[in-house]
Amino acid sequence: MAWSASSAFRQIYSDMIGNVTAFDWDADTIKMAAFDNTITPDKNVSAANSAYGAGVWASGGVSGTNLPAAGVALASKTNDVSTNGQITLDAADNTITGTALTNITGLLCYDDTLTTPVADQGFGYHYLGGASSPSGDVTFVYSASGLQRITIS
Amino acid sequence: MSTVPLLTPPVRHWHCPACGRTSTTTEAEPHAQLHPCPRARGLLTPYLPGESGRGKVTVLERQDYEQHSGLRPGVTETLQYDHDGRPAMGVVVEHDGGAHTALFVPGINIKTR
Repeated sequence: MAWSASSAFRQIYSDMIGNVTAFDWDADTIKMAAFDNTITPDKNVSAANSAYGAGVWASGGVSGTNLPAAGVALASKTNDVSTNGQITLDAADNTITGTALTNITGLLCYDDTLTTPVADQGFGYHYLGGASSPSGDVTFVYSASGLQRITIS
Repeated sequence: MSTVPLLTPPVRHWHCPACGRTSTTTEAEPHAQLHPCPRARGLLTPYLPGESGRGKVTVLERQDYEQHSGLRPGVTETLQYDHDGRPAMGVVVEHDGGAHTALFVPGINIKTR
């Protein structure tokens, strides 16, 4: 098995609804950490196993100059509800300058602020569609539809 | 009373070695500038800094061809498509000073029914 899709983590939504976590997209530091093609993410894992540095996220990290293993923080985050039936969470693209990354395959999006129910709880993971090893400047171009979009129909 | 001069962000010039388009930005922080390049099948492609220069643009193909998008109930991904409707993983612009790679990060869609 390996990466095969992008997904939100089920548990963090359950924890938000159950008031187990005080997750705050706007105010918290949300990070994107890079991983290689040796891991198999699972959207159904517990909060503990969704966290950066735990579960499958304990290995396979990708880092390089200006991209620490713990990732880069999202900037200019938005929580947009201006479209009928939609909640869109987005952020500015991240550019890592002068780096060299090996077999980058996906990104873990996690909350670097909260410590309850676990530190660094995972919010979602994004599969890039394969492994690549870029060098020089690298820009993570976040989808025009946002990092996560909830559509209520 | 002393006066404090207002600092204006520097004007940065950008160009695309493939399609020849140019752009300018005035952001103070380090940043990238992208454009939908007709020479990269319309995909978002990094500009190179400066007003001119040579370079090579290459599209990175997705290695799984969107096998999961839209097939799982409730959750789908939003990928970056070229002008022929094919999903792409990224675009690399190589130049004398190095390279700039745009990696397309899919959006996660959660749908309630």
